[in-house]
Amino acid sequence: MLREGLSRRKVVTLAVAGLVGAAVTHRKAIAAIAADMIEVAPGLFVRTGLTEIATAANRDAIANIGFVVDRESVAVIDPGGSLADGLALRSAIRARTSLPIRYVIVTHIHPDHILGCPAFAGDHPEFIGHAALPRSIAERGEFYRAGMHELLGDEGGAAVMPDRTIAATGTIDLGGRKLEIRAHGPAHSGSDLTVMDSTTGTLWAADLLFVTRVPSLDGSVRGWLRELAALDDTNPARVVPGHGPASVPWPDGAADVRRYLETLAADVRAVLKRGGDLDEAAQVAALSERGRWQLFDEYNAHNIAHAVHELEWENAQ
Amino acid sequence: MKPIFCAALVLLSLGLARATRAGENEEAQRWELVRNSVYHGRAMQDAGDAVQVIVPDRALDAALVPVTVRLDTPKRIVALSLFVDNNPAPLVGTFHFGPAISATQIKLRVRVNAFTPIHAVAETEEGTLLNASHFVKAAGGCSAPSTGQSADIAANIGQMQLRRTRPDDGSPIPAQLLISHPNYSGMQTNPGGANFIPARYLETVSIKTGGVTVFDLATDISLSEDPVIGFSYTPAGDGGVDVVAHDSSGAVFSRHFESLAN
Amino acid sequence: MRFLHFAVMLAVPLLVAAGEPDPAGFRMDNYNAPVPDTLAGAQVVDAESLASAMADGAIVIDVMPAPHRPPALPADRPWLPVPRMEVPGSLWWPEIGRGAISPALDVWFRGRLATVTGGDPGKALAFYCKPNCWMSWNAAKRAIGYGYRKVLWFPGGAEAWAEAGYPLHPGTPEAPPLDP
Repeated sequence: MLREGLSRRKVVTLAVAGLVGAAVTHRKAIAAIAADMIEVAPGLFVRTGLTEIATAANRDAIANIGFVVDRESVAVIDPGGSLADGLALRSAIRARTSLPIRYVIVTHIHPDHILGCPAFAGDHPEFIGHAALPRSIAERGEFYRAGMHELLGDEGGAAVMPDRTIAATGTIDLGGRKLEIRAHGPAHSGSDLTVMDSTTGTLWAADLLFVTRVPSLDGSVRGWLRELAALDDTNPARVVPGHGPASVPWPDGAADVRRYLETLAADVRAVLKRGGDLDEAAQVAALSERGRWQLFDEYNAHNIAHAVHELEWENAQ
Repeated sequence: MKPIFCAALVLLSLGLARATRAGENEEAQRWELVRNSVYHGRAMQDAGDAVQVIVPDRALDAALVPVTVRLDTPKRIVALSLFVDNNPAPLVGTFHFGPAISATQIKLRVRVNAFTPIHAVAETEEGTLLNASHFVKAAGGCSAPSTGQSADIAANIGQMQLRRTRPDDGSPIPAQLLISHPNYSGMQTNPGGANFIPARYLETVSIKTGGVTVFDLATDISLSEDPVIGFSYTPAGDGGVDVVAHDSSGAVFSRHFESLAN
Repeated sequence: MRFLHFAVMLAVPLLVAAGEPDPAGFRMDNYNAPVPDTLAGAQVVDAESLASAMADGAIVIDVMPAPHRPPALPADRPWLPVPRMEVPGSLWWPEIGRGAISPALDVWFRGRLATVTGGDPGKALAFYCKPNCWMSWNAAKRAIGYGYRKVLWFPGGAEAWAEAGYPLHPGTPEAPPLDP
């Protein structure tokens, strides 16, 4: 693990430099963000993200991120969308506990959930990700890092390779409670994890669940619907979505995302069945959903392209 | 199942997303370089209404940008080339049309680096070149995710579909040919390894109906993964369609499609 | 004069790396990641120091990977990669920054270095690619291993050169033998 260790040493350097450089100017901003933690269940805290696209002003704080703390340690669930975002989360954690941050669970590859990793390097946590995450980082990590660097410079952050990967399920123990981590087949992305806290009955669904903000499809539309159905077995008391309020009931909270995906798939299938192609699908698919989601126009077209590419081979003869 | 072709392009350049349009001069110079590499200085005319390049306003996904070329001219068009100017392999493909084509509309999906002109050049039977273009903003699209599983690719490579709708009046049949193929560019690094995924891409796609040529397409790495080619043809002979595709590894894929039932 | 330049290069402030040594061996994969602050046996330079070194005759080598023309691509199909903008006067040797290089590539690299230095192991050599890329670190380390005594490493790459206000010129890559 020499390589990962050294990456983190360099990342410590970046984090230190970032702190030194940013502390004075951003202390107020960090305090403001830190105040936004919501304790949705005892020991389980969520910082809701902004319903915006990533900008320099919002520091890519556009996803729901947070942490779980119990007797012995803290687990971060998604370190944030930038180094700045991650540092703010870390500040919020330290405002509440001095227990060691032993785990950073990265629920999937997307920048708003991963680029805050370096903020926690100094805690030497175990970074945990889906078995498919290392490959995804190798393919896209630099592209995401460079993109965020253009927005935020040294505060952009970077992905960090996981120390531990989950192929099916895995458990971590915070002393007093255990968290069960579950790996999913391609759904929202190709590297989706969810986290179940049985002690409080809270399912952290991450980006398998979108509320208010339009879902973005980067895995498989059919797979996503299947994985949502599989989550019914967990029977949670509440669910933390990747985007939306800090917690929603289950299964009602997932009704919208299911309907969106089913509509998208049905509309695309209908276009394909009557001989239409990508151009036509781009104009009509999921249009009925338009008034029901924020940022619809920013993402729906890309979701359609992805769904067409997936579904046009569905019934190949 | 989208390869990291375009992400690789971004990484191999200065690593800065090309998020702005280059100056007119730069664009014109680049187009001159690109077109001369194929046409070697032959004169070209602005196509006007005869050739239109249509790309959706909102880029869906830069790994599979749908490009439509509409041809509206009494002259007979014998060949059509499509270019993505800023790609390292800027000639997406050249169609040589046969007697069975109805040369009114051709559709292709192409890979696009962020922000580039796309050019279509149609050649009439007298040898006149008609040039049309469209600017494409595929902002950030080159980060096209790679969700491909190589087992799937290997199992499905070369499979084809021909989607047709039968018009009522005996006019040419609009069709789409879909081919399952990763079209690896050879520039994609194997994640975690030092080697490249070897290039493997479609080189030619030939379509005939009843033994009469519809078109022969010569192409390479700027064609999207899992290409979809839209065209119209007039059935000949028994109305069946034969497709033969060669890829750069020497593999040959072929399929016969029965004529549409009445 | 030379001593002053040398002192300037040493005085370039380095980010504190908490006294950690450089990793042993070469970086084998995941090249696009934060890089160390130091390279044992090399001097880390910024754009200004590189410019000084060039004025003193240092040879500058860009190791960015270059797009490969697919071997089977017919000669009549155009291959026109958009030009890479680099430090003017750079030699562009793609592929030598990989963690593992083939024997053929190793021979090629040694030979090119011998030619451009005129066989003088004290000739200054500077390696770069782009920010947060291990390839230039690997290439510089390799040159040190070959016995070159004055190896400079410019981690900021073409970007840092441009940010410091220096011009960039389009480069043409040489064609080292590729890994099979």
